[in-house]
Amino acid sequence: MKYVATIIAVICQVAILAYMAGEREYILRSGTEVQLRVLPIDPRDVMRGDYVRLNYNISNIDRDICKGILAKGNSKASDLPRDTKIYVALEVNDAGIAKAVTASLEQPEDTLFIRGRLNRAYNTRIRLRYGIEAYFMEQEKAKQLELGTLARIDGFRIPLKIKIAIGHNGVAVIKGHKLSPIGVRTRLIQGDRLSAQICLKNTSDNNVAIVDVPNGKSFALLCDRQRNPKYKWVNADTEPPTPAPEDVVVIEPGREHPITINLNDPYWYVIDLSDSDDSATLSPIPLSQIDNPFSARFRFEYRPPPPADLESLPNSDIIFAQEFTTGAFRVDGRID
Amino acid sequence: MLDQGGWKQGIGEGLCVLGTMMFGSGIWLVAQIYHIQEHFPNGFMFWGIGALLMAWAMPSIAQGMLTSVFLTIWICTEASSFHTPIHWAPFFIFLAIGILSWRLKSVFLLVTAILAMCIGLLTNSGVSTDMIPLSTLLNISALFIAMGILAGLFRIFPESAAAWRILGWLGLVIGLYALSFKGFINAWAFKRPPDLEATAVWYLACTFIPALFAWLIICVLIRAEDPRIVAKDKPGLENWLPPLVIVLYSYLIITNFTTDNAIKILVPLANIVLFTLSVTWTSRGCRSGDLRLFAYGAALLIAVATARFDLFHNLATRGLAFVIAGLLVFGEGLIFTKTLRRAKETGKIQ
Repeated sequence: MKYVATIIAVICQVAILAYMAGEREYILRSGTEVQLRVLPIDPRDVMRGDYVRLNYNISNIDRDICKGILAKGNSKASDLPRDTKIYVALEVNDAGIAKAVTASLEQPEDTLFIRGRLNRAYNTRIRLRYGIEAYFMEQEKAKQLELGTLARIDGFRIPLKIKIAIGHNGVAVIKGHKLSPIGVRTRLIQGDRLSAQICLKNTSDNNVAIVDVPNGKSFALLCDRQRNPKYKWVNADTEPPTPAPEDVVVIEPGREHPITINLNDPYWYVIDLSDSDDSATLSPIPLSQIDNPFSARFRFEYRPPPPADLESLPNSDIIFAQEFTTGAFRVDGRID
Repeated sequence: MLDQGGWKQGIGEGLCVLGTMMFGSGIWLVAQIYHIQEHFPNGFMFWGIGALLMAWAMPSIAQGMLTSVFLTIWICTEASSFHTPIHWAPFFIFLAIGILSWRLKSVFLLVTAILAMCIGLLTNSGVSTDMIPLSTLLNISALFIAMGILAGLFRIFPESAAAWRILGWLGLVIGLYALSFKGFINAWAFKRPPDLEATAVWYLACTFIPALFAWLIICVLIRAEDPRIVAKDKPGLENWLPPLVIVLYSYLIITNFTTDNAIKILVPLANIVLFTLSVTWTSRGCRSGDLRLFAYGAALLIAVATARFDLFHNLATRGLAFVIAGLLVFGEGLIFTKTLRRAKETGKIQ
């Protein structure tokens, strides 16, 4: 009897392990596959042993899009215990990249969602974990990934996307990663006029084309609302300009393409929202005139033309049609 | 191997313990394979459940101890790292491992289960209100002392009586010692919110009522001159201190006593109780030749004296007080030695 009971107990232990592995394996095979952009994070804190720490574009969610207790202005959010389950509804674009649409404590119906756990609720955002922040891999591969994407060789950073599968209950499992064929390097040039130089490098083995509207207008200026929610780019809500055929630039493997942006151009002005949320009543200022250049951080985001516009452009088959961001920069010239 | 007894059974049990450890490492390995960084206390919960199944199936003391350790880590991490105390879990551990220890007649396993329950209860209650852990500690300590007396009287797992009593007195002395400091009461032990939360009330009730009930049973048995009580010595007078302490402390908590008033009552009371205990234990140890009881009393006296070294501002007076305390301990030692010699001469002790 004792022998049988012991065998049953061992079977139960194995069953627990099998369930853990089986659930993930099932999700990998039958779950909805999406890609998540991994935001560049401080390389000093990136590698721990042989895994990479990942910080997703959906790890921080603006409370403007949250519902219920999590909605902006609801003070009860800060009382929620750490690791409370949060359901984030996702929207997937044509390139398969997901972004957060809403977040709430209730499981959404009839839409793709991912289950996260609350790390902390701030006034303007919530920070979440999805259980997929550690990407374990063989030591050599981890080092390669670190060197290629997160460290800076010649200052170039290769954006990384993580492929995940999401089960019907919102549990996510990492399937793999995908490196962008374009490496990005950002520099800020201080002088008579403040300008930024974004240098793109083709790190793949094939020709890649990008759309370069004059004065960097293929890019958007993102204000880091996590650090300092005061600023907003004046063209944040406008559509990017339609590119002309001559704006398409083909970059050969290993070659670079610099783009210089004059930040004194009113196109790149920002508005200071510290006194009012109504941007219409505030006057735009250039980045060189912002109050506290040490705390405000910005990034550029490459915005490819919509698929309908792409078809009419030359080399449309090799145009890189995915968004990517540069490293964050401060107006005093510091680049993360 | 498990059925064969002797060294083979030992090896079999050792291998099973190794298997449970590997089961735990398997949990973290699966997490690594699938890049899972989920709610980590769950890993300890599953590990503890696996160990518990083995503990009951074999049955095994070692597996039971592993269960206590893993489930205690689970409870503590849930409460301290995530502020989500699992209130039923300490009782579950105590029942699951306590019953097993009774079945195996293992006092050591029972001590593990009691400690696991205490740590779990104190951590969980700490999430609610600052003052509740101390009240919980005093209440469960009083309960344990009563359990020690009752286990001896009713001959239910009588080997456990000493464990209950020692752990109970240890908890009570620690609690009272903390209460003998004004600063502790001011900063922590009597930091009373305007309204006690439901969880705090629950903790007060769930620990106070069983303790009081156990002591009422002892009272009834003594009053009825139960032959089990008559056959043994009646509990010493100092045994009535725990129920008195918890009744008073609970009264102070549930009524609207201010911290200043509580200090005026609790600090002298805690000192008097500790001093009474130390004198009682030392003198009884002397009279009966019980070295352990004598040592407990002397150690407690030294601890109380050390804590009260600032009672006199004048250094000469302070020095004199310590000399008197030292002479007292020395005199007790002499009496103890004399009693021991006399007992050996009369043949009471070999």
